[in-house]
Amino acid sequence: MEREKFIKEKELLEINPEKLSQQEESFLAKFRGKAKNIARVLTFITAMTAGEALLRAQSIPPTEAAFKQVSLAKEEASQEKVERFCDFFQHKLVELDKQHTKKTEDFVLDWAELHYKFQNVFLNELTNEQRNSFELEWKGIEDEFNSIYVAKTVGETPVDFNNQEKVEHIKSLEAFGDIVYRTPPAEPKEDALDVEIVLLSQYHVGPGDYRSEHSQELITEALKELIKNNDYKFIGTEKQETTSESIRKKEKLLKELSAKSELTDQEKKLKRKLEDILFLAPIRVIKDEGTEVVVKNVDPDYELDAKKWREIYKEHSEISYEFLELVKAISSEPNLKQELLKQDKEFSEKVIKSLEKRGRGALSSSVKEIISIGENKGVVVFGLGDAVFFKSEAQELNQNSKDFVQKIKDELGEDYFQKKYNKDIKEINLDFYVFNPRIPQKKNL
Amino acid sequence: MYSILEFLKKRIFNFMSSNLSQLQKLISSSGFSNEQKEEFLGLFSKAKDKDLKYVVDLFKNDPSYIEKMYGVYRAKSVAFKNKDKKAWEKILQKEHQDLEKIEKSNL
Repeated sequence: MEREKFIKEKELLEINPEKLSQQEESFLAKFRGKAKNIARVLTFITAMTAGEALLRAQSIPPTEAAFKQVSLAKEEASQEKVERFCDFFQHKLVELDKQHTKKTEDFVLDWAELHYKFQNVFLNELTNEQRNSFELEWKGIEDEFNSIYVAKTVGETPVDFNNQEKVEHIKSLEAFGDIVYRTPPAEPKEDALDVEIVLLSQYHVGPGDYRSEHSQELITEALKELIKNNDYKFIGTEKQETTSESIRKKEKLLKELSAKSELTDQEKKLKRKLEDILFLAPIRVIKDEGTEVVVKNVDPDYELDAKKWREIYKEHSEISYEFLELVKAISSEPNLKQELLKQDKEFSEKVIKSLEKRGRGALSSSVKEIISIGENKGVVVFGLGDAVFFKSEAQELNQNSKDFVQKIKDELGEDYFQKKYNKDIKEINLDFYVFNPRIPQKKNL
Repeated sequence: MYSILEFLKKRIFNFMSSNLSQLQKLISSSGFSNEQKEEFLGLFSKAKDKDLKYVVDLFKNDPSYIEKMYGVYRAKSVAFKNKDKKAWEKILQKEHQDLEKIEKSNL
């Protein structure tokens, strides 16, 4: 087990000048000034060399990664690149944080290990100029963390939802089944679609989620539970591309188009679109991972709503509240803001427009992802990021549900409901859930 | 949870100014081969960063010590590996003599 090896190495290498033996201390005491400093370094090298030898003697070879940690840069990475990496890493920390619901010793060790990995990957990044390779590095790390996490919770990876035993085990861990908030159901109206809005607090469900496949499984299971309890018919969910897969495909296509000497008008249009998408991609990733940076930059109203939402959430889950506070702390990190400020005006405008569109007008991609189950019953699943501002929007829309119906039709086609339900839906009755797949219910907070 | 994240964040952002990072730069500018550089840095990478301060100070003030200390490390490493007590004592003896010389020259 790599983790065990890591811990062992760390234990063995806890050799430093502070822990030098009395004999060595007396050796150091003999010297002053420069000689003393040299003596310190000499004893330090002795201790470290001994540590290495000890590792070898115990047949624990220092991990390759440990040596990669100090891989020398073939080229200096730009400060910007480093900052971007740091930003990304912060999000990685948040993701890992979300995976842990118990603050056990393992939890701390996982954090420590993440840091250890970070140092290695970070420095490896310095030797690579390609962002693609940087992403690949992370993919490996993600897989590893996921396996640690899954191993911790269900003992096996990946989660097999066809395995009833596993599913039961997950349920026993209170991974599913906590519906902690629900508004009174609206009176059914004729020609109305009853929509359950399911807010998933710990799993992001949009295509931006790099673990969307895993999330989809969780959501599928969660929906099955919901349906069972409410006598719905399950239709199913669609698999989504992960962001990185999607970006890689787009990058490939853009490369192909760029290599062409002549482009048709359609190709030119596509190329421009791809450039826009890829240019904005890092910002979108930030959004999709649920920070509020974008919300803050769009409209102060949304920030206000985020505060309200936090208050509501605090009533139900202390842990999630902490998580939201964490997100807030990270999103206020100067580096993230600088990242935006560094860009030129044109870029900033593009970002703002994109965010405005997402925040104000456009339906969440999640809406398109899972829109309905059962006859005249719909379920919309939102991630945390969406929940922050969609909650008030949905409440508002509940006042005038025709707008919401029109919004869905605008984005999914005028005949969407006709196709889906074999009838035209004129209104919807919105309902709310906070479905909390990982956090035990805390009603009495 | 919060404090751990804060702690790690601090570590991340401090990394670029860390002692190890400084050592990396110093050793990079030496005349060592890439293998030697990696080997030497590999040794320091396993230490706590704060414990590298003396090493950074020494290498900064007198870059000739980068090569000298690498020589010491190699010699000690070989002695350890071969469990050669004689060689080990010889190294320590020489260290002691050299240090005394340095101290005398500073007086």
